[in-house]
Parts: sequence; C-alpha cells; structure tokens
Amino acid sequence: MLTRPEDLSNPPKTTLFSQLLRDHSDIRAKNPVDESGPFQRLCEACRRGDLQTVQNLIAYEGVNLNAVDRFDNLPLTLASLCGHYEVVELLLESGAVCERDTFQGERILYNALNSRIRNLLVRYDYSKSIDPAQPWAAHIASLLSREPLDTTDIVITATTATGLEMAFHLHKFMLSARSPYLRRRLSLPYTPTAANEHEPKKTIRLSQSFSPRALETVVKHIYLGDIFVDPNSDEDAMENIEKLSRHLEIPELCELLLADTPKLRRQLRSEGLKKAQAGMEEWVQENVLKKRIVVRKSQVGGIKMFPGNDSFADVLIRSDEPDWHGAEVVDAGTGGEVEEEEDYFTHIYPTHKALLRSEFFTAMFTSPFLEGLPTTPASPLPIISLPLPASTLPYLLLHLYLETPTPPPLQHSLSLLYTSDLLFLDRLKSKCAQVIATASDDLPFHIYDVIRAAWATRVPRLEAFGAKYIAERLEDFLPDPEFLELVAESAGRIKGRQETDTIELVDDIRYYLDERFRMRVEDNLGFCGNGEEAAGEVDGSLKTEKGHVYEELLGRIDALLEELKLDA
Amino acid sequence: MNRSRGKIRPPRRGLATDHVDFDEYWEVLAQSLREIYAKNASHLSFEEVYRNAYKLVLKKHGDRLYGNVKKLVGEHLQMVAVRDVKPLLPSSIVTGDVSFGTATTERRTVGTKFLERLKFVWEDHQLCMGMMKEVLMYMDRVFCADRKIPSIYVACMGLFRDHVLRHPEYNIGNALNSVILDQIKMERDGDIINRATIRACVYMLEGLYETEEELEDQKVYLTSFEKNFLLASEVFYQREGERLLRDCDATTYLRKVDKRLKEEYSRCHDTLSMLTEAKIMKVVDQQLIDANINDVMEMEGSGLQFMLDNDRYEDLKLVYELISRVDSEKRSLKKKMCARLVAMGKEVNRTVSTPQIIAVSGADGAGESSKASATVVSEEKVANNITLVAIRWVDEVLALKDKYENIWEQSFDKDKGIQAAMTRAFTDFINDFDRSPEFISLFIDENLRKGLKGKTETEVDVVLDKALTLFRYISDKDVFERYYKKHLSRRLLMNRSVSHDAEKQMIGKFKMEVGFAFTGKFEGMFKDMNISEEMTSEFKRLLQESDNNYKKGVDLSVQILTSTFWPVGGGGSSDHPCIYPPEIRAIRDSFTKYYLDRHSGRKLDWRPDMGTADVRATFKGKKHELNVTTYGMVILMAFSDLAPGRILSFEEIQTITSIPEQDLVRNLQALAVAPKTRVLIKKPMSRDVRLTDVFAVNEEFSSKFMRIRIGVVATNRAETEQERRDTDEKTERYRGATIEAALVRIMKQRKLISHTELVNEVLAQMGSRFNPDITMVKKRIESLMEREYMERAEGERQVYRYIVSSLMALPFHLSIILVPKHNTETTATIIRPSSVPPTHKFRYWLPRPSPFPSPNTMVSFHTLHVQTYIPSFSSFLIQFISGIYMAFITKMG
Repeated sequence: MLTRPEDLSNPPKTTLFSQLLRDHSDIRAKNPVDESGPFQRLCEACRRGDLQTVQNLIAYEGVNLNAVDRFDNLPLTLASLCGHYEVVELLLESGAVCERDTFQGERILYNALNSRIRNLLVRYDYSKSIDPAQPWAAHIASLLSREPLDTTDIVITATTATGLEMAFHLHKFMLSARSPYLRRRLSLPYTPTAANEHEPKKTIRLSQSFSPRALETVVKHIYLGDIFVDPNSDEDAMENIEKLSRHLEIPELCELLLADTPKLRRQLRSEGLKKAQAGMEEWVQENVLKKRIVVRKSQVGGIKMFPGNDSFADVLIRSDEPDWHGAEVVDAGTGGEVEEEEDYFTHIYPTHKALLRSEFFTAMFTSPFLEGLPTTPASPLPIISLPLPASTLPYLLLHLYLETPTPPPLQHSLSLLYTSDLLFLDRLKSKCAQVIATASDDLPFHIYDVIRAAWATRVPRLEAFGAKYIAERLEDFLPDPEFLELVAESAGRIKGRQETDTIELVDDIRYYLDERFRMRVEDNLGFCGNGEEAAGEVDGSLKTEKGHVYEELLGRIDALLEELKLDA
Repeated sequence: MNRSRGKIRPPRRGLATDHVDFDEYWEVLAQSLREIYAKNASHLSFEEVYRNAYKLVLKKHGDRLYGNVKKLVGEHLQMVAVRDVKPLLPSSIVTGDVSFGTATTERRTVGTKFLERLKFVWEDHQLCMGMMKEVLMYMDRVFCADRKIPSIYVACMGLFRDHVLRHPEYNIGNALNSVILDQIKMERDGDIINRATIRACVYMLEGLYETEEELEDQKVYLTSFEKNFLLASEVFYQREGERLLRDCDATTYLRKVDKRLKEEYSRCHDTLSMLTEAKIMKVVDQQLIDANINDVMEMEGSGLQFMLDNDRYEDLKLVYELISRVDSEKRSLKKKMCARLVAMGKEVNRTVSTPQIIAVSGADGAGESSKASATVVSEEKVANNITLVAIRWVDEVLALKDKYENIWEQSFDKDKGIQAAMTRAFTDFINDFDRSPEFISLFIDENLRKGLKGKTETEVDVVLDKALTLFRYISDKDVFERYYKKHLSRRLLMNRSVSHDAEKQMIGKFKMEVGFAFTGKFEGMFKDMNISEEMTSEFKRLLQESDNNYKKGVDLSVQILTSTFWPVGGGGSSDHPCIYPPEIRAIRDSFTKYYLDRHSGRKLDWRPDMGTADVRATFKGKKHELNVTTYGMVILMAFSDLAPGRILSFEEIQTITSIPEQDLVRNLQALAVAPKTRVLIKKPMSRDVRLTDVFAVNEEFSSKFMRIRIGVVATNRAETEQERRDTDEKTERYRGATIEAALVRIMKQRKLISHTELVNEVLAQMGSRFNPDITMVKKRIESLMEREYMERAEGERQVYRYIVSSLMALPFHLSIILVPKHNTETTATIIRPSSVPPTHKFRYWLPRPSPFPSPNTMVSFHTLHVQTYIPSFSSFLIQFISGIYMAFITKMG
C-alpha cells in the first residue's frame, strides 16, 4: 500500500572507466576455477614437490598459475603448505601471485610450512600498501574524478563512430609531464580567440581516427591508473590504443598492454610507476623548481602571474620565513641581529592545485575565502605563503608532487616537520622525524628545538631522541640555564600537575642516562660470557668510577629540580 | 644565541621559542571571524586566518582560543536571537494561546514567517560555522583531539541550541514546536502549508543534539519535538477515529484510514523526518485501526459480512492490509470471516437437509396406511431425490469455496494463515453435516456415471479435483470409503461407469491424498473385474471345447468378487436363496466346478440379487429381448413353461423360486406394475404388489423396442434410512476394531502410558482416517482391560500397563497377507474364540476361508499387513498356523 519512492538523492555514479575497462579486482576473475587436466596435474605436482613436472607444465602446457582447483587451492598454496621451497620459488618466478592483504595471499602466507618459504613469499609480495609510489599514483588517478576540487584546465574530446562526442577534462601539466608530444603541443603559445574566449578551459578535439575508448585508456595510463585490456579482446581497439599511444609518444603503454603474463604486467606497471615518477620529477624540476622567482618580501605584492603560463600553474606558493642558511651567512657578516631583518628574500614557485595533496589546501581551495574564489584567465594567480624558509620549500614541493621515497636533507627536516604538521602531511612528518632521530651526533640545529618541535608536533619518537641526546651529554647541558627552562616547560606540559607527578623529560633523561652507563658497562663486559654474571658485574661496576659519574649526574638532576621547586 | 659551533647549534628563530602575544593574534583572528559573519570572507586570506589560529594553538593558547571563539559565537547568536528571531515570534504563541483567537490564515502567515526566519538564521549559522571550522582546522585536529573535547563546530552547534532555541527569555524552541504542530494540524484539516520551510526547521532540529557527544538518540528533534508531535497526533487521531466511526460506513472508514496513512507517510518524507515514520504510523495504527477495526468490521450493512457476501475485493483487501499492520496474525479478521463462512456453510447444509426430511416423513406417513411395499417405493424415490440433493449440496459448497478462494486470492494476498483458517471453517461445517461423505461420494458417482459424458480429459480432471477438495475436508474418511466402495461396486457391476480411465484417475487422486491403505480395496475391485472377464471367456472356451453338446441357449458371464473388497453384504448362500431353473443350474454347477478346480479351498457364493439376465420372449409374434435381473429371469422362467393363460399366485411363485419376499415384491413390481415393461399382468390391478395377488403372462404386451430393459427400481442411489443405519453400524464396528488395534500397538510399544497420552496418541494415529469418539476409545480401553490385554498400573489411577504374555514375543499380532501364485490374497487372521479364557495366552493363525466357527465366535482381530511374495514361505506359514490351530483344537477338545 505504501511504497517507498525510489531514493533519488543518491543517483548511481556512472563512471566512464568502469564501463569500458574491465576492473580486475574481482577475486573470481583473478583466481578462476580450473578443472582442466594439466592444471590438476600441476596441483598434484605441487603437492608432491615434483619440480620437473611443474616446470614442464609451465613451459609446455601454459597452465594458469593463478587459477584455483575446486577446493579453492592455488598451486602456490599447495606448494607452500607442503613445504616445497624450489617449487614455490619456481611458481613465483613464473608469475604466481601472492599478495598480502588479499584473502588468497594471506592464506598462502599463513599456510607456509616454514619461515624460509614464508620469507620467500614475502619477498615476492607485491603489495599496494608497501609500494611507496602507490598513494601518489592513487591521488593522481583520483584527479580525473574532479572531486572535491575541479582543477582541470583542458578538455580533450574524441568522437565515437556514432558521432557521440566524449569529453575528457584533464590537466595540462599532467599531459605535458607524461607525453612528450603533448608537451610540445601545449608549449605553443595559446592565444584566446573570439570563439573560445568565454570558455575557461581550452578544448582540443582529437582526430576522428582515435576512438574515445583508446583515448580513455591512454588518459587512464597518463593518470597512472592500473589499466588492463584483455589482449585477445578486440584487435581494432588494441590497434587504436597502440596508434594513439604512439602518437602521444607513450611507448610503454603498448608494452604494458601486450604483457601477457600477470607477472610481467606487474613488473611493467611497477617499473612504469617508477619511470613516471622520474619523469614527473624531471618535469617538476624543469617547470616548477626552476621557474621560481626570488624577490624581497616587500616586493611580493608586485609579482603577477597569469594562467596559461608555460608551467600551467594555477597557484603560486611562496616561502614566508627567513632562510636560516641565509641568516647564517648574514650572521657571519654582521655578527648577529638576524631576527631583526624583516625584508628577507623569498622564493615564489608556480604550482598546481591538483598536486598540493593536503587537506589544508583542499579546504582552502574549496572555501569561500579569497583563495577559493574562482579565477578568471585574466586575473593574476593567487599567492599562498607557507611558513617555511625558502631553501626548504622545494623539498615540500617535491614531496607533494612526487612523494619521493628519499628523505629530506637533515638540515631542512625540522622546518619540514613543522610544515608537515601544519599541512597534515603525516607521511612527510614521519619521514622528517625519521631523518632527525637517526641523525648522527652532529645536529645542524639545537636539540632544545628538536624537543620543543617534538612536543609541538606530537612526535614521541623525537622526544625520546632528544632525551637520549641530552642524557648522553648531560654534563654539557646541566649548567645551561636554558636547559632549566626546558625542564620547567616539560613539567608545565602536564596540566594540573601534582607535586609528585613525573616530568617526562627528566624521566626520559634518567632512563637514557641509565642506559648510557649500562651500555658502556656491557660493552666493557662483552667478553665476560653469560648474562647473569654480566648483570652482577654491572651492579658492581656502578660503584666504580663510571658509577660515580652516574650517581653524580643523577644528583645534579635532583639539585636542578630542587632549584625549580619541582619534585619528580 | 650565537654559540660556538659544536654539539650545540643556535636555535632557529621563529617557530619554537619566540613569544606569541595572544591578544594581538586573537584580535586579528576575531576580526576575521566577524568578517565571516559579515559575509566578507572573500576578502580574507584563508592562509592568514589559518596561520593565526595555528600559531595560537602551537603556542599553547589552544584553550583560550577555543574559549574565545565560543564566546564570540555565543555573543553573536544571542544578538541574532534578539535582533532577528524575536520580532517574528508569533504573539499568540508567546502568550500560549495557540488554537484560539487568531484566524487560521493569519496564524499561518505569522507562523511561516517565523519559520522562514529561523531557517535563515540556522542556515547562516551553519554556513559561517562551516567556514570557521575550516580555518580552525588545526585547533580541532590538535587541541580538541588532544583534550578530547568536542570540535569547535559541534560546540557551536550546541551554542545555537542554547542561545537561540532555548533562549532564556524568549522560548524560541517551544514556539517553533507549537508553530510546526499548528501547521501540521492545519494540513491535516485540509489546508495547504509551506512544507519546505518546516522541513528546513526540522533539519535544524535534527542537526542539533542534547549533548556534545551527538548521540543519535539525543537529537533535539527527538527529545523536544517528536514527543509533542506524537502526543498531539494521538489526540487528533483518537478524535478522528471516533468521528469516522460515527459518520462513515465501513468502506469510507477504511479508505479514510488508508488515506491518513499515506498522508503521514508523505508527511514524514516531505515535512518532518523519516525518523518519525515508524512512530507516527504506530500512532495511526493504534488509534484508527487497532481501536476501531472490530467495530468497523461489524458495521451493519457495510461491514465484513457485507463485503464477503458481495465480493467487495477492494474493500476486503483494505481490511486485510490494515489489519496486517496491527496484527500479523490477523486474528479478528480470521475469526469473523470464518464465522461467516461457517454460517453460510451451515445454511447450505440446512437448505439441503430440510426438503429431504419432509420427503422422508411424508413417505413414512404414507407408509402407515399402506403395506411395507409402499414404503419401499417411496423410500427409493427419496433415494433418487437425495442424489439430486447431494449434487446440489456439493455444487453449493463448491460455489462457496470458489467464492472464498477468489476473495483469498484477490484480497488477502494469498495469506497462509487465512487459508488455514478457511480450511478449518470448511472442515467444520462439512463435518458438522453428517451426510457429507455420502453426498460427496454420490457426487462423484453421478459424475462418473453420467456427468462426464463427452467431456475432455482436462474437464474431467477439473470435476474430479473439485470432488477431491471436498474429500480433503472430510474427517471421517472411513465413512466415505464405505460409501465410495458401495457406489463403485454398483458402477462396476452394472457397468454404469462412463470411463474406466476416469475411475482410475479418481482412485489415483485418492491414493495421492491419503495413501495406499485407503485405495487398496478399490483397486482390488478393478482387479476382480479383470480377472472375472478373463475367467468368463476362458470358461466359455473350455465349455465349447469339452462339450460338443454345449447349449447355445445359456450364455454365462461371471463376476467373481473377493468378499473383502466388495460391499456385498451377507456371507452364506442361505442369505440369497434362489431355486434356479435346471438349465441355469447346470451351467452354474459347471462353472462352480471349473472354478473350484482351479482354486481349491475357496468358496463361491452366488448372488442372484446382483446379477442380470437377458431373456428372449415372443409377444404377439414379435421377438423381444428382455434385460431383467437374475431374480426377474427366474420368475419369468417360472412362467415360460406354463400353458397360455395360466396364472401363478404370489405364494406359488415364491415356492417355485424361493426368492426372499422383499426381492420378489420388487421384481414383480418391475415386471407387472411398471407401465412400459409390463410383461406380466397382476390381478387385481394396482400399484402395489400384495401377497394375495396373482400373476399371468401379459399376452397383450407390445413395445416398439426390440430390446427392453426391465430394471428393478434403482437401488443404486443414495441410501435409505434403513441402509444408513446399517452403514453406521458397520462403521462403528469397524472403527472399534481399528481403535483396538491402535491401542494394542501403542501399548505394546510404550508398555506404561497415562490415559491422556494414550488417548491422544490414538487420536493422532486415527486422524487421517476418521475422528474417533473419545467415549468409544474409553470403551475400547475398558474392553481391552477386561480381556487382559492391559491393566491399570498399581497405585496410579490414570496409567495403564501392557500385559506381556509369554507368547507375545512371537509376532502373533501380525496378520499376514499371503500372496499365492494366482495373485489373490489369503488373509490369515488372529482370532481367539470366546471359549478360550483370556488368561490363555494363545493367539492363533489360521488360513481363510477357514473351517473355523462362524464369525460370532471371533472376539477381536488385528490386522497389520505383511506381504510376502514367496509362495513357499506363505504355504509354510499356513501349515505352521494350521498346526498350532490343530494343537489348540485338540487341547480344547
């Protein structure tokens, strides 16, 4: 009687890509049931560890190594369960897949008879969560959805055989970075004509000879999506894709499409991703980093850049902190008063909203504030200042653009730590913390700043590092009045502190102090043999000379606390 | 600061150490937030505002910042409440005077304006808070998460609740509730209101929570509005229910309710919240359906009875749907519908039985004055009538069934529960009528004899299926079986059946329905017919071969009936005495010899009361072929040797033929009274045959037909009263035996069982065959105890114990059907002659037919069939049993 009307508020999303390209995430499709004779023989051989038969079957029968038998077992599962190391190795080498975080993959790992096989499996594991380039590639692939921020600036259309025009909204910088042909084409000066003056985006019409499907595949590849076209599916389509990829000078796409074994495909994709990253880096170096403008802070207002610049930037980013390297230079010359200089040099980089991969920027560009206002081709690009020194800014940009696996240089890490905290860049933040915490003794910045940064940005790892650092050279710090301040600050971090509450910093220092002496004692006792004896020796040795130093240092900490009227 | 380079480097300036003056930064930030309120955000740099907040948080001013933002927002909201909302508060609501005073139109305008303003204020608040939330993102992420306090957005939503909705001076929230309720009331009364505005305000209430934890069940909508809404609705619908009940007929009521439900549904969709849907539906369900539906169904002239009688499918559907909402079992609907159905069924029973009673009593009245023969005639007429009545009854019941089936299909969504209730109702009234088994059997009989002529297979199937549906309702299946057997035997013996296929089909259907045990005898009857045919032809062949003097004059066809299958009453030939003319006797003896040669140990019992004969006669030079009963033939043969004009008195005929009086009367009636087949003349001429009448050959007889059928007035129809009493008696006897068998079976299995359990078990086992009478079960138990099959357990009154005898270990309670090679069955039956004291633990097997004393010495017998197809085994058993029997006889002797 009463029927709920169709829920129209949430219309199903029709994505172009899902229709034309087969998504290969489906488990069934990945591991089809195979009941053919050769496959059954393969399974049997995997059970028995018959390497010769497995080899023959792979070489001459061309069995699918990633199929399952009717009990849902992969050949790899069987071989690994039955503990045939060589067979497992051969299977993996021949393209059998064992991915973590998949049902079958975890099953293989879990069932591995011994850790030798397990390690082998893990070594061959290709997992999205482990590949550092994956989040980056995923971000770029997501740009096509134009959500939540539409940063596209060019439209390419292709016409189907039936005359239907399909438009692809794309980014000039991506096209330029990924296709040499398009780079040349886009570098031609762009003159607004009467016809397209009102169109905010430039439109390119693709030759009729290329099908939308081919264009779609190519676009997906350009945007680092994982593409798969069944090589046997459609000769014409394949040819078309091949032609287009040649035209756009993306030869690796053809290779990828022609790859007929899963292993080769994965390998090519992994390589392709690395290559893309390298290519992108080159492009970024060329078009972003090298295109920087250096001006004094007071002159920033005079800088005007317009869309359609040759790096296709849509936003400018400038450093908004004096460079402490620069300051040091000045420092050496003038002998102090660096902080007083207000009109320092600042660097401005042309950048792309699309690749400023941070919630901060997304919120900014989608907000109704100044930065979120729609830009017109005629208005100058907005300049966004970020609180970090000019020399550090490129490393931030590299992270944003490329997610480079290489850690930032130590000297920039502290600034980047703050910035990454400000911009909610967690991966960069942990990278910076890693760099600092594993630094050698020679820190380019004061340890107090590290500890304060650790507090401010909530990185316990750095707190520990700072405490250890101080504990190891406690003698040097104890007389420093600023150390006193730091201890007081640490005490103040606990709100409503009780008399007997601990002071984290002091506790940590005590812990590392203990470790410092114990470590050395153990080092000395390295020859003494068994541990129990050594432990006894430690206690004994604490009363020795080193022990005295230890006691003395502890005493001085207590004195220091008393001076601060703290009890811990 | 400028220390020597070594282990300790100069701290970098800027972030870590430099002091941040809170007030300075806050002032800038506050100004920015005010700009946001002033809709000047596009002049603000997101980055600058963000960085201000960031610095304050980084410099541990998070709590002050949080507090200050809240304060700023709070102040703004207070200002908004006073400046923007208060002036539009409807005055009537402020004074608490909602429903009186101001006219509806005015109230609506004022209310809508108020709602619109509130909506505007809320949306503005949301918009601004959305922006603030973004610039204060760092504070939310770092400070609030660290302190585990609600984000600034959540906190400020709470502020809106406290400063606007629950403004201490102007109770805006209450006003809002009242206005919405008022407008909904207007809408329910048929006015048009601005749904979108209300919807927006409801969104607001849904977006606000009682606490900062934002628990789903703590929405302000639920806590402050919904409760009032449901309460007001309850009152409204209670009144509405009363009013409708007073003013409308059932159909209108149902339609109104349906409309209201739809309205409330769409109200929840478009005006209020889906959260309320189930709750408001429940209110409507309770107030309009649950409270009143019984009254509505009972409405005179438009209620359920009216709808059922007039096939108001639409209305019934509505009743069903509405009742389903409040009671998934639909109890009241089922009850009322079944009551009506049973009433109509009983009406059918009544109309059918009334004229019959009149007819019977009329016949009785007539019978008083006339002699017994008259009663015979009128009773037979009644029997003919009864067939018509039976068909009418079946038709009417079927019509009733069709009607209700249609209603069930069209209106009740083929509800299983209702179907079950309907079945119960049919069972009730059909079994309430004690002649229903007979009537249904008669219906089938009529159809198989005449009704199916010229019908296609599917049509036949339909008719048979109809019969079967009624058959299903019968609880006394054994009674039906008896009737059916009787009717079937008539059809077979008199060759009246239209189609053997249809017969087989019908039996197949019974078999499907109740199993082999039920149809075994029917099938046996067919088998007998086939065997008889074969035997007749073989006998004829042998006769021709062996005897060249074979008289062509007499042609014998036999039908050999296994007495257990056929409802042929009586045992020995003494029951059907008849002196056959010598020609006939010769051939009879010849056949008897032939048969007994083949089947030794059997007994043939000739039934002249059931056979027919063709007799050639010449009247006025014209040859006729008379088809008469065997008795008729014997009578005519008595006349055939007489000189023309010679007369025979009734008594003479009786002496010559020794036909029982009643049969003789009936046959003479057919031969001498029925006008078209009057081959004898009776003196005096009258309609009745009396013992004093005399008969002669009717020389004047003429007929244009060459072949004349002289039927005895049909006895194939419904039973007469007398026959019925016989049938009932038989049924009782049979049932008693069956119950005893079941009792012994159960006792043997359980050994010790309480009375109620035993009775229940018996009822359950008998259920598929008939509904045993409890008193009968009790009687049987008594009887079994008397015969020491069981006893009361000591100390426990209501518990019985099975008495295990020493020989009980042998399967003596089994009767074994032995299947000898010629395929007819021999039943070995355990009997115990009454002369054997119960303590005597022997139970005997003996082959049947047996030389054992007549049936009245059999006290009880149990039948449980075990079939064996190994002839040697069966003969062994017979020998074994006979052996014991003989031993017994000697012992007893």
